[in-house]
Amino acid sequence: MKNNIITIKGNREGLLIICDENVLWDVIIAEIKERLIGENGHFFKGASVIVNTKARTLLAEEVGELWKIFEGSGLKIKCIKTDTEKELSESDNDQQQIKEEGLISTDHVNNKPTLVIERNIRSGQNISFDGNILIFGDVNPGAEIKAVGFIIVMGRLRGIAHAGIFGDETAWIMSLKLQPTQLRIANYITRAPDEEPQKPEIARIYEGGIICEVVENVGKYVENIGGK
Amino acid sequence: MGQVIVITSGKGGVGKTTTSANIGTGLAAIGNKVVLVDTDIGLRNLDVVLGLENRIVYDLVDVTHGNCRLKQALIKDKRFENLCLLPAAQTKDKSAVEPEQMKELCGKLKEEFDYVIIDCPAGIEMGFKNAIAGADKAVVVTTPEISAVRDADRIIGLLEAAELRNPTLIVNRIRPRMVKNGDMMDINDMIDILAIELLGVVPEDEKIVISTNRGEPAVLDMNSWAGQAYRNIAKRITGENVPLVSLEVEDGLLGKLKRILGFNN
Repeated sequence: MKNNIITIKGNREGLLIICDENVLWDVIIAEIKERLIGENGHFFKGASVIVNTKARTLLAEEVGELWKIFEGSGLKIKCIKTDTEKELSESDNDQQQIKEEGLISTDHVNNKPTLVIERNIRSGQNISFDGNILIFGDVNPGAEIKAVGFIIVMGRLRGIAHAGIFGDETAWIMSLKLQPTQLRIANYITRAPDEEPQKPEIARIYEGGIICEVVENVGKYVENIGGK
Repeated sequence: MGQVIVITSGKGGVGKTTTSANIGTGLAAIGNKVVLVDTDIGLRNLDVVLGLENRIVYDLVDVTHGNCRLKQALIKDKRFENLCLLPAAQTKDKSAVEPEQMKELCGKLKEEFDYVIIDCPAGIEMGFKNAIAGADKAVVVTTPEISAVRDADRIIGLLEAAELRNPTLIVNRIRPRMVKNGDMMDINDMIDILAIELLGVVPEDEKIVISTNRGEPAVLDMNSWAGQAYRNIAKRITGENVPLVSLEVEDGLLGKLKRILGFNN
């Protein structure tokens, strides 16, 4: 092979593309275009792809760019992985690593990977992820959850949650019991209502503020759910 | 081979040292070989609570630095032959001991004793890391206050990160009457947040203050509510199945009369 800018491997689940972390992003994009869309492009058509960017963390625009390329060439991105996940999910001062994490595809909702965590997030623990976050467990007061996309807590949310940290105002936060210390979506900040919620609620931006309402029709926020 | 149990809480003043002294004494009273280790270097208290302050010659730092043999530093309790104390140094600070040294020390102690009870200092820094380094099990102490519960939650997270899974919880200084009137967090509220197993509930008891000042653990006082709770906790640690003491408060003259006559326990 003439270079190692990107390595393409095939397995049962589809293609795995590993990008060299020391090469400029533009070079990688060019290489992906050449290898996947060039003359051999038809060979990969219809495959689903997992992109591993190693130690590189992608900006939202870069993820978008990647997405466009693959979509344009008839490929489907399953998820984008970074080896910095560990770092991203580390709590600030105690090097606590989240080991139980897993990634799933939620590409019928948005084009971001989703981090799945199956445990309680306790005070002082800090989770941030370049995508969506889905937690099966409680988020206790003093904990902080930050996602580029949406946040779902299948349990009580009593800590701080920030969805759309890069300014995505369509991001939303859902919890079976939405009682956060603070809610942040994009650049909006609010406190939770004082009364205890009786039903699962969803928080989103509406007319310049964050509103919380009972989840009745998730489909309103999630276009084409199950549509593909 | 014995087991090493660390008593921790995060927040100060919730009763770690009192709990350590009472659990240690309680375990010794039912025939176990127990050693209490005070890791609160620089702010040692466990010796005072046990009334052994005037017998200290060597301490934890002397042992880890090799100034004396482990046996020389262990102080025999005045009440029980099978209870020992390894006191903390008062003139050094937490950085005088390394987690590795604690691990080695705990390894040696559990060969000789059935239970090694470690009294952890408040905070999450060096002292905490030392205290949990050699532990097999952790007991988290909290009081029914939001701040204490918050810190307990933080500590449980740190214990999990240090591979000390499934810590158990002691709720200390609860006032049944206040809980009943809705002025104090109740046990269920705390369990709901912390999501760990309850080891015991210790009611607020003035006798604790008296016994602490006298250097006589309340667990030996058969008339103390708190002492009863600690006796039960000690039994639960040995694996015995003891139901929680009912904290129901009966109001009115009849209730008062019952309490005076000792029917309420």
